[in-house]
Amino acid sequence: MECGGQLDDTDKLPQRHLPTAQKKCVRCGKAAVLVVQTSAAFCRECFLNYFTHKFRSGLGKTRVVQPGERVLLAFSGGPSSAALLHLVKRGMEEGTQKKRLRIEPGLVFVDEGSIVQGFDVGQRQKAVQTVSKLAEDTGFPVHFVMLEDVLTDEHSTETDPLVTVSDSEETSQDTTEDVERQVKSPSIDDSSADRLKRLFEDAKSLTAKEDLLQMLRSKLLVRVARMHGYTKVMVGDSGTRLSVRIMADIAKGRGAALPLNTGFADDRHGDVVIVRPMRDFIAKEISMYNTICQVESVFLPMLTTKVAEKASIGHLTEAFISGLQVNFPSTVSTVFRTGAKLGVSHDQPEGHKRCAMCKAPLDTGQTPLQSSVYKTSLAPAGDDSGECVATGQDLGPSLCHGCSLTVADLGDWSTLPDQLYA
Amino acid sequence: MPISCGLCEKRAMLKRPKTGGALCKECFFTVFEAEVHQTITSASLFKRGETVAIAASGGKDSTVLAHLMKLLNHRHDYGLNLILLSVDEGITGYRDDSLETVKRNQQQYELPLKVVSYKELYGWTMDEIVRQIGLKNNCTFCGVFRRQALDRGAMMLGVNKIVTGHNADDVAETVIMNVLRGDIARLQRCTAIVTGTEGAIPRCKPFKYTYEKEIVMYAYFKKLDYFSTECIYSPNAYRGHARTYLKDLESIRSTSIIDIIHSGECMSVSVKKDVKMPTQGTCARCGYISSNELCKACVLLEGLNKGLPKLGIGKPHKARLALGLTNTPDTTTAPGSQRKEGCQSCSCRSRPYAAVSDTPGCNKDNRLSSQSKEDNRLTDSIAKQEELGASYTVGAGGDSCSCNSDVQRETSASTIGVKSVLCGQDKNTPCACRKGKGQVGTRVTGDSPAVPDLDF
Repeated sequence: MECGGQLDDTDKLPQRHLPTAQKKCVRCGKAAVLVVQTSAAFCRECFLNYFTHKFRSGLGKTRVVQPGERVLLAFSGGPSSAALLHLVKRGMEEGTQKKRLRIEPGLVFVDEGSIVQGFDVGQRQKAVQTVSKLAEDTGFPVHFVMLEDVLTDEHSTETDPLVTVSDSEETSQDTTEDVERQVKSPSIDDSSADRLKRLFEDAKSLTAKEDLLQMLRSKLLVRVARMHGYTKVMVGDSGTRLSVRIMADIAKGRGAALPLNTGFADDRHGDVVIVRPMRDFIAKEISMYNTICQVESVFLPMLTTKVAEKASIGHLTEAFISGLQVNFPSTVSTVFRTGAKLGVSHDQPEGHKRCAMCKAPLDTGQTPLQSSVYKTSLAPAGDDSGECVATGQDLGPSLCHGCSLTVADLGDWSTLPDQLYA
Repeated sequence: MPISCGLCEKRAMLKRPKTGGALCKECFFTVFEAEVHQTITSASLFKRGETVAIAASGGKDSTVLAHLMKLLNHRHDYGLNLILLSVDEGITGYRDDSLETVKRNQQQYELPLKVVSYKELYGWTMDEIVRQIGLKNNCTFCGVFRRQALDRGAMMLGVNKIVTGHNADDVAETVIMNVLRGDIARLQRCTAIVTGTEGAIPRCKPFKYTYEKEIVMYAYFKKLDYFSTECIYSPNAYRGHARTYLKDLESIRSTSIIDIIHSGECMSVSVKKDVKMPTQGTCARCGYISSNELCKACVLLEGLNKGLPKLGIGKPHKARLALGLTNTPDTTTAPGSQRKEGCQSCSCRSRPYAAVSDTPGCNKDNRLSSQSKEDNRLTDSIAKQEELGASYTVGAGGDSCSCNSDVQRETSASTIGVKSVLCGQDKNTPCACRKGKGQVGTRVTGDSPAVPDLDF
């Protein structure tokens, strides 16, 4: 046995004393089983109560989701969205009639496998099957879509064979066939999948790819919701994820869109509002909840899986925040609260100018000084030769600062699919 | 094959960090100067006939700033009256050397120079303060005092504006720091190109959009005479994280620094209306702008003079408690609250009305508490100081428990013994008497890359 030596070493190590052994639950005084933040220890029941209460009070206080509303739950297979599903399911089953969570949920899974390097059809198929198993266990209606669907024409999607609905009543046999059809479908409908692939391959930086993925994903979610008559989309972004997003948005020059990107409700798409009910939980709490409730989640490779730390701004920021979090446990909550203090001013003076791509309020007009300096600094006045980074001159006024940087990395804006501006 | 300049046909000498474009030396100067000029004119920083103080430390930013202000004032006829203003913090081995550089700059640029020192304004030099507070939190004192010292110096000179050498990297780093600290009020202020327009003398940052690397390159190619050493008392670990992050971002996308400033500008206008902001008033004691009854400088100074150097460091309400919550400076008759702040374990605790904890034993106590929070690289030196403090207690810790600041000075003078031992034992510890250890002149530290960014 090759690791026998290591086992010997671990035997000699001093036994770690579990802090929970001595601690009492701060709520009920029973023996505690876990520590959420630095000092507060909870027993199993109190933790579940605390967690559920936080989730429900977040939904209640914001009053964004109305009783009886049709809500699309975005399920990625990851721990956070799995916990979201579980919370919704429990909320609809438990408690008295009055306290019950009264929404009409549906599930959506976006298969992003086509843009992940080295993720072949067989693996994709397997992944989709695992996810569909988890999704169907909930008994909610499930919608499977693929990321490339976003590049199909919006008007034709009503009859699009790619978007399949598997009702909870359907047998699992049917669903498997659906999945197979989907995963095979790239060979049937090459155009959109290939176009998507090319779009990502042409992107000069991983940062731009990340931005693109984020944008396409939320566009697709909104589209699916619209098509099936949902008015809200719930996504599983945790507080940890959102504080990384806050920092990354700042670094990418998207400070103006930050309140929309990380707030509780994102209403930039008009009729469909994206809601982030998991934002009050840090990743640690969620994984504790999943352990206690035995919530299953799957790991699917993403765009930034197995890349170097400094490969993209988003990836670097994640490493930065989680690195700080180790030594300064309040980092995530502090960053998150800073972001929560920002809002979008709804009293826009001149019309409703929004970025053509990300639909956030345009930020270029607000600070004329900055943008002018930024542009002239590329080359001295009167000389535009060579070193001018494309700022989407023709699209110029309708792109926000962050999106113009992304477009610059994506190549010529005119070759980009129209759906990006939809 | 040599790469030619993007603007003329000459051979390129450098790759611009901001844009990645290749430029020759002359074109780089032109572009650099034009950009700063544009920043100044488009923000209308100055009016004709104004007197402007250039905050000069002798470092790269302020040296380039002094050079450019002089140059642009002449070239574009701003009609400004320029004065160099320096603050002498009293850091032996650092500021005395950099002030020499400022004095040389004064002659080179033929500008009048005014130096204000912490000693004359507050009665304390940084060396003395560090002996009280140790190496942790000393930057709080220095920063707060410097801010006020600059204003006081400017007031003495009767200037209309102060220009500082804060560059784009500094501003971006401050944005990140304020997000990490959750300081929404500072986040809102930090990206403004002119700050302190109400009441105080306005401060401008003409280098707000200028990359640090380009400033270094400019100074290098112009062969400007500047001083390049990090402060011997600044092992600010947390800011270091933000700095590293910023440098990594810049390596991924060179526009990141400007992008962060842009984000900061956008965020400063999108703060929710219901967020509680500190109200700005004036200090009851010195009249300087402050969001509390007493300004931070007065609280810190009070702490120093009473031998409670930690007074202004922790939670603000504790400091207010210790100061008796009133505007009256004489609060020595509030023993209960003061004891809370000071000693926990030393002999003065047993005295019911010991107001102030300035025995060496109390210093020990303070050090112990700071040690527990200290990051690893400092722990060694603190431990050594602590040992010394302890042995000192045996000798003199008898009856010096009074709030007389003179006694306090004596105590601090006695602790000079610490530094010689430190120098002997631990070379890594920044120490007051490291003067002359290869820190003179324009030694370039790892933090300010003078040449390494030249890609040719």
